[in-house]
Amino acid sequence: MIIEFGAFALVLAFALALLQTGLSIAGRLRSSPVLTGAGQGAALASALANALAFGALIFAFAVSDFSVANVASNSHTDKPMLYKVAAAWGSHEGSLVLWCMVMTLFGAILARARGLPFGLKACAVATQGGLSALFLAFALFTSNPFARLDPAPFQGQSLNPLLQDPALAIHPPLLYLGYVGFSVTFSLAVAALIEGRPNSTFWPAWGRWVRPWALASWAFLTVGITLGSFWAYYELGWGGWWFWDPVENASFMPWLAGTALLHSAVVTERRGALSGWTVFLALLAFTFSMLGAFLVRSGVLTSVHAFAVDPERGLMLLAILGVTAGAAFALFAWRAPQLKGGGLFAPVSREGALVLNNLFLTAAAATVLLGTLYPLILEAATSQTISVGPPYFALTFTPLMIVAFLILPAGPLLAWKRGDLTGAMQRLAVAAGLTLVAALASWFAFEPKKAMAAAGIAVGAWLILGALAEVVERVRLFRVSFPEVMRRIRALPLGAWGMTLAHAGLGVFVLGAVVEVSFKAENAAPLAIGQEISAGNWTVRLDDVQIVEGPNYLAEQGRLTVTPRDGGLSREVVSERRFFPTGGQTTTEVGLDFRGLDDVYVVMGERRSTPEAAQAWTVRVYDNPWARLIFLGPAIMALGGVLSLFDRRLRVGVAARRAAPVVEGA
Amino acid sequence: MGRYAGPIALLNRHDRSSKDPGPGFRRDERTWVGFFLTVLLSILILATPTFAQEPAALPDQPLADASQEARAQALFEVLRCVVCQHESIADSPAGIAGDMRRLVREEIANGSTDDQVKADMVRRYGDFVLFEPPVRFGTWLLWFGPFALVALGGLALLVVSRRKRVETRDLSPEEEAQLNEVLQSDRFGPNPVASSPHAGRSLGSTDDTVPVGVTPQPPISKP
Repeated sequence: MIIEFGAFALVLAFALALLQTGLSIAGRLRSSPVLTGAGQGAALASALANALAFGALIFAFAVSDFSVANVASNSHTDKPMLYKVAAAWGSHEGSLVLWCMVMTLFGAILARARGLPFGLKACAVATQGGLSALFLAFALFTSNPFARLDPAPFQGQSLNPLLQDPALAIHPPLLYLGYVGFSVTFSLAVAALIEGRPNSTFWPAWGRWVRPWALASWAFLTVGITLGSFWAYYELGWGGWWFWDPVENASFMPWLAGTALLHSAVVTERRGALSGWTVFLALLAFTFSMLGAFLVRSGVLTSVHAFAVDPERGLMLLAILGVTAGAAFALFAWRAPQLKGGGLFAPVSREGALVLNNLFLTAAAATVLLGTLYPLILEAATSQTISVGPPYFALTFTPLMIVAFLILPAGPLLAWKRGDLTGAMQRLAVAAGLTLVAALASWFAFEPKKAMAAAGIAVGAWLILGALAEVVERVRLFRVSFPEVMRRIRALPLGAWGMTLAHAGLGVFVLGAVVEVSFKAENAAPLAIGQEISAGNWTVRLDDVQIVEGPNYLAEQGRLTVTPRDGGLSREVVSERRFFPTGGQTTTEVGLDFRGLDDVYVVMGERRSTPEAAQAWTVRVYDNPWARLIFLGPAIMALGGVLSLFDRRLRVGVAARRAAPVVEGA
Repeated sequence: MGRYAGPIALLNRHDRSSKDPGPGFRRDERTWVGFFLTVLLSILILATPTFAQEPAALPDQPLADASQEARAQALFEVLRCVVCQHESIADSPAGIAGDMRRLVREEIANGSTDDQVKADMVRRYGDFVLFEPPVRFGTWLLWFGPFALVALGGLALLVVSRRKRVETRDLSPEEEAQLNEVLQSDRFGPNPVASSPHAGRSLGSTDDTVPVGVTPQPPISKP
């Protein structure tokens, strides 16, 4: 009954999304606030209906209703409740409902947004409704999550054991909040192309309307990707955290486009310039999101992450991608030349620096796109098969980013319109000196000595110190009295702190990535109980192996002791090999010992006999120095995004409410 | 993903296939044959589901020479397991990845250079095996596209900035007033709602909501 109700709610959400589009367009054409208001109401109702459908799906998973095909093929009564619920978005069908729910939810928030002009809002709500309707139709007609099975099986086939992890509960929702959040920037861009004027007042206002959405989506996507990376790091047991896997790339492309969008939207907001380019990026970010959905769900890629491999669905998604992105970019090509914003600027200026940022970020996104799609295209065109993996990106993506990182700290120190490069350089002199010191220190601190690693550490330190130098400059530290500095610190807008944190967080990530990649150590050997193995700075002893029974698996659980080689506190880690009888699959549970910034990463492998011992287990140990920073850095970046989001200048609704009495009193 | 696929027997395979025949076993020739057959059969029975899906890789024997082993490890990272989904042979637990690792080690031990090893792997498995695609006519776009894009973009920016050597100017007072109005009162394009009670309760009216770069104007008030 609840299942049928869910299916009905999903159909209702689709119908309401269509209504949302129709009413908004009609209202815009007739300049009728009643009709557009009804369209906004439909957006709210559509989100509600979609949430009910999603709730019904979760219910079906929670009670293990195997008469639902989706539940039967992705759940099992033995699974812990957390994974039963999370399995609701662990499959293609379920994750699509989540995708649609986020999309309609954002549509509802957009419909409630204050301060948008009548026409722009009607067009944006109509576009958002159209996007929702397309994806809901895709869910309903090709991937019905509520399809029944008759007869219902007694037991389900359970979820892929690799996915049975607490991260499944939060990683996909966060990722989708990011991916789908860009649908709103897409809608606002389409609306701006229809409603925009070629004058100098429209674009700064539009920049301000689009920026909170870009920021929020970017922050969600940052956390989502980082969490996914960390998940792969501790679940796959390979000691790596980024594999340039096509599906990772699919999530990285919207992130890069979104990052470029954030920066170019600042120029549009402050200066009215780059309006066409910002609109282009707003369209591009969501186009990349849709491309990612196509790549992951169509089966054109082989990847560890790919799911629901079905060419027909892939074709449908490709059609949605082609229609929406095609129409939007056609509109862009037609309207953008008519919509020139104002704001001229000298090459050396804040705007100029942000343009450079965009040049490099766009080239980086294009590199990832090329690396992901090139093997497909080449094979289709010439039937030659090639692989594009980490070495390619190390030779193309990384140098581009290094150049961008070297320029980055100068940007915030340049004035708008016309900057003083020499002045900016002088203000960065201290940071540059400290960077050199950091590079030299790292050269002596790390063994073996590697010039490239010292250079990479210098880049990371340069980003962090450059971000700090900008704050020092803004509060005039050491140049004015202490109380004045404190006053200036308090007066700094949250947006400024957000930028500082985001740039410093990037530096933290670079430090972690460079040190981990350059100085990680790895060792593996078969160990009998009581034997030891060393890797890097650590010695690991296998203490005990027991067979333990989990809720839906049987595991060989190894207890190991990690001791620093130069003496120090020993700590116990647990690594498991879990066997899931339902699917006949085995997974590894990595034992992680967090030591300061370093990770000691222990994987217990198969049991085997050695000449010395009847029973031994292959134990693989990775010493991953500074690996913590790899995940901490992006978290700091996302925090910066959230801080910026709470800047009063962007809090449209709140600022307006506070401001209202002022207007009346004036 | 069933790389480690195996039955529950996997967990205690060793105990069952132990070569210790137990006490009181008479070691004559016939018993040996019987013993071996039993062991063989039990291994087959117990391990068949495992072997059917995934031939168990022989344990990796690192090369004795540390520098040679380091070269081998570096090569493992850039060679793709040919049956896996985007995994290097360093990461892949598949049987064939184990074979490929052994092959690489053998060739290095025999004195092949890194390039010779790669060339031999390409001869056996095709370009597909290299995570770093070869630079040739068909992959020029792949290799040089990113840099060409930056170069072209930079060139375009240079041209535009030279052409637009116009003095920048601030917004005129009228434009600033217009901008303030837009940010303040919803009034943009035909907006019937502007006269509703919600008018004015919208975007920015205080000084700090005006974009930096635009001189803050006092809120528009009645004269």
